[in-house]
Parts: sequence; structure tokens; C-alpha cells
Amino acid sequence: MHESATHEGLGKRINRFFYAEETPYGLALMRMVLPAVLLIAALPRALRVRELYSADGAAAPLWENYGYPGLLPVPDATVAVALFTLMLFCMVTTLVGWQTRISLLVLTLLYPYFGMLDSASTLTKYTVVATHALALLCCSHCGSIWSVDAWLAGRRQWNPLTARSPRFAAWPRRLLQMLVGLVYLGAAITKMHTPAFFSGDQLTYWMLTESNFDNPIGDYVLLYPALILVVAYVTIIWETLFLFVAWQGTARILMLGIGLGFHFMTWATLGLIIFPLVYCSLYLAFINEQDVQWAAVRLRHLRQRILPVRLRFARSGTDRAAVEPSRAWATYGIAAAALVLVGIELERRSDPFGVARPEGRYQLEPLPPERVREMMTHDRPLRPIDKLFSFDVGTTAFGGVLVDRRREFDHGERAIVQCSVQHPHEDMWVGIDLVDADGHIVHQGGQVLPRETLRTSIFYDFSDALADGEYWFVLRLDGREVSRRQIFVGEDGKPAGATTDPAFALR
Amino acid sequence: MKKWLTSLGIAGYLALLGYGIVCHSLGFNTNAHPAMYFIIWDMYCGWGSYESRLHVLGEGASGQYYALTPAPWGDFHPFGSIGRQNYDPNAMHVGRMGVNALRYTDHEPIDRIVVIEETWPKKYNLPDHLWNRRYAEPKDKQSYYHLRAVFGADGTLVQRNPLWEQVLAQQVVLNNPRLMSDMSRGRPYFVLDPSLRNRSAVTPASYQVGEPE
Repeated sequence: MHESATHEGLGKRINRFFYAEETPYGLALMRMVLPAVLLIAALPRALRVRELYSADGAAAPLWENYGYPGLLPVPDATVAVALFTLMLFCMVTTLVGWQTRISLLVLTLLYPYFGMLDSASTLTKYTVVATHALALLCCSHCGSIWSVDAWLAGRRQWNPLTARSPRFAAWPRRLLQMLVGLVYLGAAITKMHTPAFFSGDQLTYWMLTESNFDNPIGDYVLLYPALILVVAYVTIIWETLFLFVAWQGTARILMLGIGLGFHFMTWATLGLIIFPLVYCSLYLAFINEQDVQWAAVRLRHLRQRILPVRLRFARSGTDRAAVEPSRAWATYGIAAAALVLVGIELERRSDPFGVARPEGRYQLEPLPPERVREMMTHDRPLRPIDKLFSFDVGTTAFGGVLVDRRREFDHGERAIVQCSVQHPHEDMWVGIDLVDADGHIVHQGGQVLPRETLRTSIFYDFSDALADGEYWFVLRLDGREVSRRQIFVGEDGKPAGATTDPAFALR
Repeated sequence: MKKWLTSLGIAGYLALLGYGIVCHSLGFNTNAHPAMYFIIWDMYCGWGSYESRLHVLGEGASGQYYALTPAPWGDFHPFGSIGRQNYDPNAMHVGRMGVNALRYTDHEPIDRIVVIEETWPKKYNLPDHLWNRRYAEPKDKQSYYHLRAVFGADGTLVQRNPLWEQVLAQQVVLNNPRLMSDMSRGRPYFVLDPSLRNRSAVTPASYQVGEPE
């Protein structure tokens, strides 16, 4: 009896979770924001359609990467331009909610198709996430409110407190929420497969790359390895928990808040732009009716306080007459066809490869011989300095990574001398000598650095036998000195003024 | 009926996403089909300590080399400041990019398209003011060049080599006499005989090298 009641309860809960009726405010907002974000990436590519997506250019089909040549057709330039223009048109019509369902359907087909046609410079994981979102929006009634469609249907719709809003089952929004959580779970699994993520090395090298857009603080964050480690652990915990706790109450606010911060930082440190915007637009699926009504009440209060009475406009209390559907369809079709024709003609006139220039086609210029000689000298052995990533002296390690950098030590203190190297590297002998100001070797040490390891540390205790003064830790790779760090030992040995060692600035 | 179909769709979609998660976790079938790209969430799965650029060159009949990227009509920078060819790490499509530059330009006859990978340690990407805070050594960037691929003038693949970082990793492992000895033991091989200078230098015979019985 108890067991069957539990089953019934679970079934009812699942039924309520997916089929409870609600006004799709969150999805309507997503319908407006997501295409706008996708337009940011699509518009620069609109000028390169012939080159990126057509058989008359240099398409880079994804299916060839997987060994499926010819899986889908690569269109010629005219067809590619026509379809791309249609895709842009549908992004705009989705944004305003004009023939929303058909616009989303076309987008759901064309958007991933163009992504797959150019796996080099269009397809990314944000393309995939957006494709899922478009497909799910296509199944929803996101165009039923705050849209041209609703306006044409003659519904009052703008104020959530007074509108006669249609209600539908919540399952498309639920699936979008689950998509967000599952993508985070997949991302967490990726990190679990990447040991270098937990030492901060992966993030460090990603922040150093020039493959993404410029970022404002990535290079500075590199100076604080402890911060990178903390963020790495917080990220993986948050990504793992998201799917399970981001549903209601404080946990929802917390998870979404961390998410916004996380995606902001992917811009600030890694230079990602479209991916965080796509993801933040997916967060709109977490907005429910109560959130919208809460916001509407506060907006009304705000408006009453800010706007003078005479400027407050009241909307008509009656619904407009609906526009005949066949006329709306015809207008939509004519607008799409006209835009496609304009797009084809504009692209043809733009002469993207310069074949119709008055001065003739472009001519290739030969490269200077010295540049050719430089590029044709292949596979030179690495210089020892290029095997080294960093060489630092400090006292505190966190997760195996030195997190402070110091130059002044007292007798009795223990220094950690850490050497980090580039990957991949051979099994190496990392020699670390302590040399006094006159160049005499005071202590010789070293360690084997196996090929699977990126850093090694030695500990050095400054005993009383060591005279106060200036010393150097000298790093040798391949038997040659590649780096040295200046330190000062004892009270009398510390410099009176500013130090000359630039690494000291990190303290 | 409609609700049943909807429930089936929900279950099917969640099963698809779940399949992607399981495949990704277990490394199963992840590259089996292009569709897997749409259910595997492996963002930023890789990393490298070297920055690399791909240079696509045309080798003319006269021996002159021509840069095919950036194309004369301008480079497309999809995600930052570097050209599109640099986002083709497997060198699958750079040949076609070179052919496209040849197709729409005037030039001497081109014998082949050569793809050169230029790399340098990423630490040299630090701006100078941060380099001076982080390192005591002067910033002395040096690029390394590596033949990545060769295509015919029509884009036919002639030769494709591993990435520079993969070459380094291979060298690390293969620089081991015992391993090299193991690899050659028991494998047939061809003999190159210098005495056959005027004939084919490759003797079409194989030899087995094994432990004596």
C-alpha cells in the first residue's frame, strides 16, 4: 500500500514537473535573446559565405573529419548565399516572434548545417548548445507572448499582471533546464579526464593562447596561481552539482549566480564572447511565472515612482482584431523571398575574391627568400630555455604548485625551489645550485623530472652555517644554466632599498 | 495519444543526452559519427604549451614560394586576431584553403601546396610588462618550423605529418635504445644497399631478425 502510494507520488511529481501548465515567459525571453546572440557571430560570416560555406570557396565540412565524405551536400555559392540569408531572416523573425514556429524550424535546420559546413571557423560547442536550444524552442510555444504573432492574433500581452496569457505544458522549458545541467555535467567529466586541470596548468595555457578574442585580465590572473587552483576546484564542484540542485529556492539563485560569474570570467580571462552569451541566454529557461510577476510588480512600483502621472500610458483594455492568417503567411513569404534575392545580388556585386576588379585578378607575390629559408628549416632541436616554463622560489605550495614567490629568507626557514617545464619533455635532470654572490657553489642539488610530470620542487633549509648575504638559485637543464633567481639570507643580507629582481614584484 | 507521444519524445531526448554523457565518460564511440559531436560535451578537452600557426604556401615551378594564407582578398579572423587556417589543427582543410587562393589569383604554375606549422612556447605570449614581472630572463622568442602537410596543386593530400607537439612526444618516447631494439626485432625490413647505386637502391627482400633458436 505504502509502496504503491510512493510510486503514484513519484509519477505525479514527474507529471507535474513536465506537464504543469504555465505561461512561457522564460522561453519567450530566450526566443528574443538567443537569436540576437547568434546574429553577433553570423553577421561577420555573412560577408564570407562564398568562401566559408560553398563549393566555390573553401568549405571545411565536419563530416570529412569523421571519415564520411559526401555525407551532406556542399552547396554552390548562390545556394549557400540564399540559405544563409534565409537563416539571418529567420533569426530576426524569431527574435521578434513573427511566424515563430516556422522560423525556428528553419533555423534549427540551417544553423547546424552551416556550422557543419565550416568546422574550422564556424562550428564550436556553442553552435551545438544553440542547436539544441533552437530545437527545443521549436517544440515550445515561445512565440505565444511578447511577439508579433501574438500581436497579429490580437492578444493583449505586454503586462504580465494584466495580460490574458496562454498557458502550455512546461516540458520544453524543463528539457532546456536539463540540457544546461547535462552540458555542465559533461564539462565536469571532461575536466576529470584532464589531470592538468587540477594543477591549473590547463587553465594557465588557455589564458596564454591567442586563439580566442583578447581578454582584459587573463594575463594578470596568471601571476596568481593560487587563485587559478581555487577557481578550478570551485568550477568542477559547481558544474557537477548544477543538474541536481539548481531547481528551486536559494540553491537555484546560488547556482545561477555562480554560473553568471563563471561565464563572465570566461570572457574576462579566456576571451570567450559568444559561448558565455549563448549560455546566459539559456539561463532564461530558469525564469518561471512567479519570477516574472515579481519583476512586473516591482517595475510597476518603480514606474509609478519615477514617471509623472501624465506620462503613464494605459494600454487599451480591449483586444485588437486578429489579422487573417493567410495574409500574415503571404507577407512573411514575400519578405523572405525578397531578402534572399537581395542577398544573392549583393553578394554577387561584392566580388569577394576580386575576380572582376578593374585592375584584374589578384596576383600572388613571392615570399622573400630569407623568410622561405626560415620556414623551411624544420624540426630544430629545442633550446633548453624553451623547455622551461617557470623557475620560482617561495615557501608555500598548494596542490603541488608554488603560490608565493619570495626573495628574502631568515636562517631556519625552508625555501621551496620549483621548476615547471613545457609539455612534452623528455626525462630530464633538473639541476639546482645555490651560488653565493661571488659565484661559488654553496650547494648542489637536483632531481629527475620524469616525462609525465610538469614540475619538480626541491626544499632548501637555510641553516645557520650559511652567512648572511646575497645568493642565487641557479637552474640547469641539459647541463646548461637556463635561469637564476636572486635571494637574500639573514637580517644583514637583506637589501636596504628596492630590489632589482623583477620577480620580487610578485610578492 | 498526444501526451504519450510527447512523453516518448521527452524520454528519447533525455536518453540521447544520457547516451552522450555515457559515451564521453567511458570514451566509447566518441568519434564514430559526426552526430556524436552534437551530444559530446568535451569543451576545452585539450591544451598545449606551444602556440602554433599554420602557413599555407604554394611552391611554384620556378622554385619560388607564395603565401596562400592570408589570401590576397584578406584573412577571416573567426575568433580573435588569427586567420581561419589556424583553427584546422588536423590539417584536414588547409589544402582546400590553398587551392581556393590559387583558383582566384594569377600566378605561375604551382607544383604543390606546402603547409608549415610555426610554433613557440606560449609563455612568450605574455605582454612585455608582465614578462618583466614574471621572469628574470630577457624575452627571447624563437619560432620552430615543422612540415605539417603537403598537397598537390589540386588539393590532393600527398603527405600529412603529426603536430609538432606530437612529434616532440614521439621523440621523447622513441629516444630509448631498448625500445627501438624491441621495435625492430622480429619485423621484416627493406635493405638499402649503397653498392646498387646504379640500380634500384631498394632491394625487394625482407629479413627477419629474431633471437637464435
